[in-house]
Amino acid sequence: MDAPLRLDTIKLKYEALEVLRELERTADLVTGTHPEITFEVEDWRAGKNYRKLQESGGLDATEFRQLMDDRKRMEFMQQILQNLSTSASELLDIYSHQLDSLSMKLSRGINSLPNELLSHIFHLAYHSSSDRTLLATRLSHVSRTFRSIVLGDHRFWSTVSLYPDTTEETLGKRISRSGSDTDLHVVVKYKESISASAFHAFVDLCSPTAPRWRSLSLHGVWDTYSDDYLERRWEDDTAASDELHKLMEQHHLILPRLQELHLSDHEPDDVQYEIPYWVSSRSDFEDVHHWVVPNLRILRCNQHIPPPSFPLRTFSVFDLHLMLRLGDTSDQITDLLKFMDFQPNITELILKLDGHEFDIEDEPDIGLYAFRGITSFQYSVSKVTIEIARHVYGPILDSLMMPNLKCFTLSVELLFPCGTLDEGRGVNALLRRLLPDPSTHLLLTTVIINIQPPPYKSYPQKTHHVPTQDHEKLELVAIPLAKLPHVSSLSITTFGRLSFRRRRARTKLYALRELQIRACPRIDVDGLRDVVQSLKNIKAWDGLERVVVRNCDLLDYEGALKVVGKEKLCYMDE
Amino acid sequence: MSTTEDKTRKVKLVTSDNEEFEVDWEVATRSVLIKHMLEDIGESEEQAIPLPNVTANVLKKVLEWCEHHRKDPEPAPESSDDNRKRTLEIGDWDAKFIQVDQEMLFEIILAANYLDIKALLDVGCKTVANMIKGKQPEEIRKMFNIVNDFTPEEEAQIKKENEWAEDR
Repeated sequence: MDAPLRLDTIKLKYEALEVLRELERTADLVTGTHPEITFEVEDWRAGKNYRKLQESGGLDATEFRQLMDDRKRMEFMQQILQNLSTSASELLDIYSHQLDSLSMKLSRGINSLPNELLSHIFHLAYHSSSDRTLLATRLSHVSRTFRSIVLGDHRFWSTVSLYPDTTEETLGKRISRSGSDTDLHVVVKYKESISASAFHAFVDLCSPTAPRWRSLSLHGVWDTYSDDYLERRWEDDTAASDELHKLMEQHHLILPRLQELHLSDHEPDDVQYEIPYWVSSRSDFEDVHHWVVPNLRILRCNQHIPPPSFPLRTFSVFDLHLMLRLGDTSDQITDLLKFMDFQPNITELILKLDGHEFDIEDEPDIGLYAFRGITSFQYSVSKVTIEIARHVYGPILDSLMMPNLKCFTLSVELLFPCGTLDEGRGVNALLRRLLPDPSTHLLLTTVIINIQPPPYKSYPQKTHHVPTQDHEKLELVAIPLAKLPHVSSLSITTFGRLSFRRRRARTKLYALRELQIRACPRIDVDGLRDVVQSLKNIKAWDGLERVVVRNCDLLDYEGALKVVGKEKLCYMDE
Repeated sequence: MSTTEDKTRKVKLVTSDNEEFEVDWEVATRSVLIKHMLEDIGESEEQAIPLPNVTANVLKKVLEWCEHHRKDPEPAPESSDDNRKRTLEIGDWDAKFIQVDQEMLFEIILAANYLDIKALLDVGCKTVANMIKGKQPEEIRKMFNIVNDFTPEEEAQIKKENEWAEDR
């Protein structure tokens, strides 16, 4: 029964293959860029028939049947063309798979790049690498060309590190590869296995290069689970500043190029999620002949705060990453405030606070300190809930009075997606607690706010996520403009929607002149309209001179223009 | 500074394989080389700019990037090179754009270098740097089809002198 049908199919396929052959012949005519070929309805016989019958006026039964037949034929042709397209895609996949690897072998690939570009690539990889010397070493093993580039550029050997197995010979080799004038980045990882004598022998060897030191890092690498760790830290109270104190006692150095000092009592890429036992540095630097560091600009500390007697006072940027430890929070913050109280040179404070376990009832007991030198403050807090903001991060902010503060950056990483959910409130409740008091920060004119969900939770993608009303309420970031009365420039990045609120309905003049909505993936035209309306509601819209919409996926230029208007909009898509 | 007149102006570019492209002035002048050449030839709209080091298929790809970034601010001066080096992050659009086979990747890098388009050069070079990072020498050779041209003696010596770097 199937035989005639099969014959028809074979015959039809044979006929249809003629189409393919014609296409192949057409493609043979093309060289270089593919020209754009478009088709009109009239190119089809059925299309011509349709137009002809349409022009003749009414349709009789025969003509109607003819159109129905044409339609069937068109459907069949469409199906053949779709199958043809699928088959072409399959063939292209095979080509891509087979030919790409072959073409890579035939082409010169990376060998076609001149040495200057290879060197640029190596520098990019080098600067972003956690172990720069290892990367340079591996590159020097690839080929003669790679080796000559890497060994010929002293900058690839500018990091000099002391590890437990470092010998005098290897250290000498590393220093010699760095040439005679390149800036050096000296890294010491001190722990139980590096003896005090090895440590000082290292500095002895390196000290002739002291005029070239650009940065110095002292990293305490502690195995927080070992008995040694507890024993040593309990007995010796060893912290990075104590090591620095010992160094200063034994080696008086003049470091004219030193710009950055890094003191750390925690390995940043430590996989253990254990917050190390807090050790306050007790060293008294008053009795040492301290180093000469006229150009020290940045002091970076990681899980470490130097003592108040810390003698190097030429730096202006203090960058601290502190993991708050249950039961130690008050001590940690007090250490911080006492240290900063003796450092009037600090003009820029970068404070990153972290922690995963808080005793909410045990609010940190801290006083109020005034820091008149600080003009810029970046406050980054992680794993935030409303309660933690209220009892921990908020009080810490309150303790810092910075009457000359001009620029404040707040970065909040929430503990849960969609805000904390405690007491049914969303992220909007956070901001009231995490913005500086306007009555003591009268010069604050620039504020940058960035609120993000936790990185380790899967968060619904914008294309799949249909927010419920509850979610929308929780993800709404309401900016309390009354807390920013002097701010003229405000930049906001948030994962949710945005609006402006005022608690009381009294009319107030705001200083806000520029609003930047930056990388907000969920704000669309309606969301932007809500922002504008909320600003109008609190009478802050008219005073606004510029609305910058920057890198918001759901907002194109036309949409933003419609809502904001030409006068105020500045649209940027990078 | 570009004028309104500049923005409506068209520029003709001719590739090494004799293909002609007509593009907006704003798109073409993402390339510092083309911008300077246009300044040299003045207002003549008819004169095509020859690009003897770029083929049509590569220029098409480069112009796709320039079109997307036509509104970007002028690149920062050389002094900010250090900041550019600190991160290997690439924007979402650029990351998708640069998902090409290796042959095209290196062609784009060479073209961006020749045409003096710093931001595109960065995208290409950062992509290669990301491919290199964390790899052993043998993996790098395999990935980029690089011949190990050290003699066995040299290789043994190199490995020995650098054992300290790998073993710690």
